[in-house]
Amino acid sequence: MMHPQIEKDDIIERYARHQLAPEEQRAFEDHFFACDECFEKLQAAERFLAGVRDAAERGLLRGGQPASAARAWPRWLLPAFAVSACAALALAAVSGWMFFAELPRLRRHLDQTAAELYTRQRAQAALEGQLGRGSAAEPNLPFVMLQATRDVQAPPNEVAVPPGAQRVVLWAELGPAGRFRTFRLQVYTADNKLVETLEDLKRNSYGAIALSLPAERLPPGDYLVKLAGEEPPPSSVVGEYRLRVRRP
Amino acid sequence: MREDKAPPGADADLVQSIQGGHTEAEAALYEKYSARVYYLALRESRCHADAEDVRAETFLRVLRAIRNNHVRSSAALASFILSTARNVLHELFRRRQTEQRAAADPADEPALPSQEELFLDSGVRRAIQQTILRLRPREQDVLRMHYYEELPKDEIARRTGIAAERIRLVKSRALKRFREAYLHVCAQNRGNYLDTKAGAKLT
Repeated sequence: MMHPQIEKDDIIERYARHQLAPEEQRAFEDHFFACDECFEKLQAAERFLAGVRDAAERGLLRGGQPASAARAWPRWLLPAFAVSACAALALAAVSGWMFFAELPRLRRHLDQTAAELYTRQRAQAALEGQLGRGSAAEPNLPFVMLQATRDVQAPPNEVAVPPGAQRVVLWAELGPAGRFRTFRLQVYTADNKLVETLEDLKRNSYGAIALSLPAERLPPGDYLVKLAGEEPPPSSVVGEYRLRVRRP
Repeated sequence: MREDKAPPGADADLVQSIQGGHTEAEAALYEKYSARVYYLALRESRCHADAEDVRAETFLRVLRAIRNNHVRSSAALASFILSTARNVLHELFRRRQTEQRAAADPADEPALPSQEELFLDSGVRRAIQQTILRLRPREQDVLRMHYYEELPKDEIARRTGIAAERIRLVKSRALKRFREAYLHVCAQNRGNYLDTKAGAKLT
């Protein structure tokens, strides 16, 4: 037996693994008994074989076992894995886009909406506060009973609006024989600027027109209050009243 | 064609020196062949004590034959030693068979160690761990499938994705690294591991 054949036929490893035919085995024994190099290789192969098997037994030769196990699966499963892998990649891409692009945009939008909502809530709270104040009972309500007069020298109807008063109540008596069902009341300043208009007013059970105006619309000064009949037409003035507002 | 063996002239000189009464030539003969005889005996008998006995008996007979000029060709000394060792081993196996037949209960016979256990020691383990560290995962797979699971080459190639013709290269590269690592380990712990010349553990 010669070295090229030993090398080519893997004789040393096969001898160590007891895989040679009896004739080959005897021939190789004849050879390594006279060959230092092959005997040294044979001993190394025996140790290597023992070491590898021991390492495999102890789980040290796991290598890429999961990957190789996957490769050992049936081929018909590979397309399913490919589809899954593509889906996973697409999902990763979408997730990345959501994370890096869409989420910040949505977050900004959410912050903006939250700010708007906060502003609206504050405005609503302020409005509710005002409504709350409006619906609350108000003592010492300023009240004036309007008396019509043609005498320009006669003193005007006067009302004192105390601090904190929210509204001023006007009361206008009408004659019993009126033809109008609804009325319109307009308040003018002394220089004839329209301050307030109230329409669709109806007589109360006393046959008078009663209404209230926001006190803030009536700062101290002289006013002219005009009351006109609206329905049924034609419309016409039924009374004019001079009014003076004071702030004590 | 020439066979790649040790030069026969050296063995012929040894034979002549032994026949001339030089005891150092006997020691040289023992030094040269004892590890091979021990290895062969250990591989066949799978017992260190029996291997030691086979080695001792073989060299006793070889030296006696040389001294009595019973060696036909001094140039074929290696073949003579090998055939003597085989005869001694043959006698050992016949003796074992006789003892087995005489044994009342076969369960009383001591269990023989596996082939791997005979050549495994802490030096081999350290060297193989160092070798594994330098291998790629797929190369580790190749070694496990080839030497441990004993799968056919084509199946290993299919499972690992390594071409069948490259599997041989992976094995030889791993073996080369192991030999280097083992020599390094032996150099660090000289005398503690299997001595290839003597063929026995010194510790």
